[in-house]
Amino acid sequence: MRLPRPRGPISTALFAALQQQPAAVDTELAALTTAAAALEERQDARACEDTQITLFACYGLHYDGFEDVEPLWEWNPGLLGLRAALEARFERAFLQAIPARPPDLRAAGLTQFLLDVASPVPGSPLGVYVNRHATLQQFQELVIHRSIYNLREGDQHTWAIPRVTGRAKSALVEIQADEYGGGSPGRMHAELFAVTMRELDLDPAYGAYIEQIPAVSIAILNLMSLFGLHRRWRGALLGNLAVTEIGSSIANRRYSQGLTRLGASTRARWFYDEHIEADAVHEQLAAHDMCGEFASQHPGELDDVLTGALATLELRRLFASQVTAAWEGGATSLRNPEPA
Amino acid sequence: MSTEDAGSASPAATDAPPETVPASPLASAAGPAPTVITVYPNGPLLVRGPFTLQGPDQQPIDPHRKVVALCRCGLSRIKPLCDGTHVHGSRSGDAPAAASKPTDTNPEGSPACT
Repeated sequence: MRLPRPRGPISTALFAALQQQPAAVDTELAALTTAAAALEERQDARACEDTQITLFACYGLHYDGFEDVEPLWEWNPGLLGLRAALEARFERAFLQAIPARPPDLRAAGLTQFLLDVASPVPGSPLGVYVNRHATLQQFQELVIHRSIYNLREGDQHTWAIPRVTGRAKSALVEIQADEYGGGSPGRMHAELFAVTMRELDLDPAYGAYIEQIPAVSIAILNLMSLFGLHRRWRGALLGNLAVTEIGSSIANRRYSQGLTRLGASTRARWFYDEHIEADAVHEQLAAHDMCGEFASQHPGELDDVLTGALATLELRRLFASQVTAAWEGGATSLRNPEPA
Repeated sequence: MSTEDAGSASPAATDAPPETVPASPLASAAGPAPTVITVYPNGPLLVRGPFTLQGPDQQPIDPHRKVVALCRCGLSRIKPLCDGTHVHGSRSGDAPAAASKPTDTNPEGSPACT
């Protein structure tokens, strides 16, 4: 994909710099970093369009990159400094949003805590809405929101593989192997999502809808990238993966049934039906063998696992509330970018 | 309770299988990989290693992956595979029912669905 359009002063300045060779703009970036660090906390950084689109661009350089950005930018110190300033804002925001955790939780209790906290319970608003009421257009919106993650599904958590050892690592590899379809062409979960997009008359090219995707949806992906690109957050990355897997079978059944209600094809439902089966395996592996074993090996990082899990759930809550509020008000949940 | 949980209205009569755990995978480290079946508390059986899954008609069931989860609560809609429904069951596992479920902390299930 090409760089998205900027959404505020920081992204405007950075994206202009990215059109040049890195060495030419070092002083500009230093000034930009100072400005970013001095930003007032007037807005929840999780929902700040300028912050999230800038982080999306910074992290994107570590995945596939952008056609119009020189690859040398990936490790440019000036860019990394700016990214760190924005990450500090993002971290303050998601840490502030986390509810109080059980004070007496030990490693032995982590697995059950994760299973409890992330299991969907009756009445989950967005899942039930999509299951029973969503129009085809609303379902397409949901797919668009998630496309920047699901078209790269798995990659964010692969960052954890070299950072953990023992049973936690082998469990993670079991999960990730499944994410990549066991190596079978066409069966990677990201590829199944592309099938769903085509069946729903959507463009599966990565980033095709970035201009319509609001900050909170981008933040869901950015949170994984932040955890994945900092070894100090490895426990949080595992916690993020665990609550992504736990309860996912039930959530995906709701979506698959929603698509059936809307008359979608079997192929359109493939991605969701695959996840009903796969995530019933993954949630056990993630909760018991990956997080449980990791916390036993590293009791000092138990809190990081919790932080990753709870920050993820709170961000999802924010996303779900924004989407359902828009739909219940008869509006689109997507952005309406100004014409180019 | 959402509509998709209506399957619990006709619970299977069978009890969970005996919780036998196979020999340690280390036992045959030099030979072919053993088949290992692991019991997950209040959850499914996970099967690893060489196995063939068959339906009542003796026809093979494609498990689509190397590690599969087999239902042992009777509530799954895709038996013999697990579909995560055991969390809604009251007799789905090993321990007495938890005192209470937490509040709805997962407002939409798992959207990211990896």
